[in-house]
Amino acid sequence: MLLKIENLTVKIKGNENTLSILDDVSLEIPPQTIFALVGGSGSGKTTSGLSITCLLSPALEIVQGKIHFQGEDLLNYSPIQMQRLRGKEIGMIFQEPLYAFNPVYRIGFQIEEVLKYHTLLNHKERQEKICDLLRLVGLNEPKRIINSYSHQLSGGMRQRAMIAQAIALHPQLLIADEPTSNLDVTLQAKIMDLFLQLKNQLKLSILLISHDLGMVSHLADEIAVMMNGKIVERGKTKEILQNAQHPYTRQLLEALV
Amino acid sequence: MIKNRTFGGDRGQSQFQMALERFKQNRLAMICFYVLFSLYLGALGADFLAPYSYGSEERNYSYCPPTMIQFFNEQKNLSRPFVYGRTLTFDQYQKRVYTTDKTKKFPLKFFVKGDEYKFLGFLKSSHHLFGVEAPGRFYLFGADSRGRDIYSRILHGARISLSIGLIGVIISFSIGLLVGGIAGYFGGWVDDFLMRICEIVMMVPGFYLLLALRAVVPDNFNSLQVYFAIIVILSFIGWASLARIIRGMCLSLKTRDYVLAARTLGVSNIKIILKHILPHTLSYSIAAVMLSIPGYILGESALSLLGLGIQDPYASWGNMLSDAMSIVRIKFAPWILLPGFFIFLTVVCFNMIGDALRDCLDPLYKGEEI
Repeated sequence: MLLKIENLTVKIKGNENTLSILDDVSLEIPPQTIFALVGGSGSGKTTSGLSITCLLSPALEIVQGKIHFQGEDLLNYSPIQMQRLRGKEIGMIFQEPLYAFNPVYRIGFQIEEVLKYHTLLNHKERQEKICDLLRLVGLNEPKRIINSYSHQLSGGMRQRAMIAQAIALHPQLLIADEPTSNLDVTLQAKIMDLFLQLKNQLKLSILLISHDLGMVSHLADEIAVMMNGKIVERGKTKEILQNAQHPYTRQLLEALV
Repeated sequence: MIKNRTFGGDRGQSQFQMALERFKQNRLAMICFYVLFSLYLGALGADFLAPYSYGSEERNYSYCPPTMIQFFNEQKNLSRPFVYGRTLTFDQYQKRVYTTDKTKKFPLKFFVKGDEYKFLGFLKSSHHLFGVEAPGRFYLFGADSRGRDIYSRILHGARISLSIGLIGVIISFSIGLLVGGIAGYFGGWVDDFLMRICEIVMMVPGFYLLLALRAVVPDNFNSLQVYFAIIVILSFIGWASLARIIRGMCLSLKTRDYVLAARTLGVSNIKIILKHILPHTLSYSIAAVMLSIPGYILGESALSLLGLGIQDPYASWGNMLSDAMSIVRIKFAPWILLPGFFIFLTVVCFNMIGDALRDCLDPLYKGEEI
C-alpha cells in the first residue's frame, strides 16, 4: 500500500465539543492507481488532502488516527523531515493555478526552485529538466513558458505548468485538489487524459479530489464518497457506479443525468 | 514598449521594469534623482572637487565673506577669471571688516596644487579641480569661524551626512523586514514576542532614545567609531515601525495559495519568507525606504548640532550648522547657514523620489488620467 489512512479525525483546536471536520476517515491507495475522493463542498475532501502533507491550517488539529506513507507514519515525522518529503515524494496541485504561482516570479524560476532545493543538478541541467517536464505535460514551447509570468498564460497552460512543477521530482503520490474545476469542459478532458498518461508513464498514484462524480468516473480506479467529514462509501469505480449503496452517492449519480 | 508587453515577446516584462518606465516619465522625480546623484558624486569626489581639505584653516580669514570672482581687469577688459586678495581690519566696535586689496591678484586655475589627499582612498594626489595658489584664498561660499572654506566642508560633510542615511536605512530595513516577516509568517508567541519588543522601542520618544543611546557610547571613541555608533543608534530607532507594517502585510500574504504551493513543494520557511512573501512588500518598503532616509540625515544633523555627533575638525552638515546657533553670527555671516540649505535640498529630493516611487511601484497604478 502506498498510502494508508486509518481512523483520521480532525477537529478545531481547543474545542472538544465541536463537530469533527474529518470523522474517522480511513482509506488506502495502492501504487499506480487513481483514487478519487468525491463529495460536496465542505465535506472534508481538501482537509484530507492537506492532512497527508501536514499542511493543515493552524486552527485545526489531528486528534486521532494514523497516516502511513510507504510504511512510515507521517504523523511522527519532524517538520524538517516533512519538508523533505513534500515535493519529493508527495506532489500537490491546486484548483486555481493563477494563485498558486507567485505573480512576481517567472514560471521557470518557480519550477527551478523545487529542483534547486531537492536535487544537486546545476543550472543548465535544471533548465533542461524543466524543458523536458514542460514537454511531458504537453507544453510544446517550453522556452517561452519558462520566461512567462503566470498571468501571461491561459488557464490550461497554467494548470499544465503547475502539474509540471508538481511532478518535477517524480513523486510517488500526486494530490490533485479539484484540478479542473476552473477549466472549460474540453480542457478538463485534456487534463484528465494527461493524468492517465502520467500515471502510466511515471508509475505514480493520484489522489484526485473532486466534486464531479461524472468526470471522475471515467478516470478513477477507486472512488470514496465523502459527506460531512465521513467516508460514506468506498469501492471500485465500477461497483460504485452500478451498485451505489448510500443515498448520497445515489443523489450524486442522479445529478449526473 | 508595446512590443515588450505583447504575449509574443520572449520574456515578459518584470514588475521592476514596468515601474522603472513609469518612474522615468515623472520629470520632477527625475530632476530630484539627478540632483541627489550629483550630490553623491560630489561627496565621493570631495577631495578633488573641493579646493581645500576639511581641516585647512586660515585664522586671518575668519568669517570671510564669499570671494567674488573677477572677470574684468582694471582696464575693464575681459581677462581670465581671478580673485583679489583681502585684508582684515577691525572697526571701532571690533567688528571684522574685509577690504579688497586690488594690488594682489590671484588667477583662478584648474588642477591647482593644494592639500595632499588620497583620491578614493588610494590615488595619492595634491591637485584640486579649481582654486587659487597660496597665499591667496578662494572662498566660494565664504569661510567659517576658523577660516575654513565652507564649500569644501560641505562637500566633505556630504560624505558623512549622505552616507549615514543610506547605511542606516539598509541596516534598519533589513532588521525591520526580517523581524516583520518572521513575526507575520509564524504568528503565535513568536509574533507576540517580537511585536512587544517593537512596541517597547516605539514607545520611547525618538529623540530621547537617541540621546540616551548616545550617552552609552564611550567618550574615547575616535571619529570613525563615533560615526558607526551613530549609524547603529539611528537604525535601532528606525526598524520597529517598519517591522509592524511588514508584519501586517505578511499576515495576509501568508494565506496566499502560492505560499501553500511553495510549502507543498518542500520549500523551507525562511526561504518562503525571503522569496515568496517579502518581495510582495517591496512596493511599499522601497517607497518607505526613500521617505525615511531624510529622518536619518536629520537625526545625524540633530546629534551633531548638539555636539554629540561628528566632532570638529571633521565636517558634517549638522556640526557645521552648530556654528550657526547664534543669531549674531548669522547676522554678520549668513553664509554659515548654507549646510542647512543642502540638508533641505537632500530631504526634499528624497521625499519627492519616495512619493514618485510609491506611485510607480503600485501594481494597480493606472496612470494620472484616472
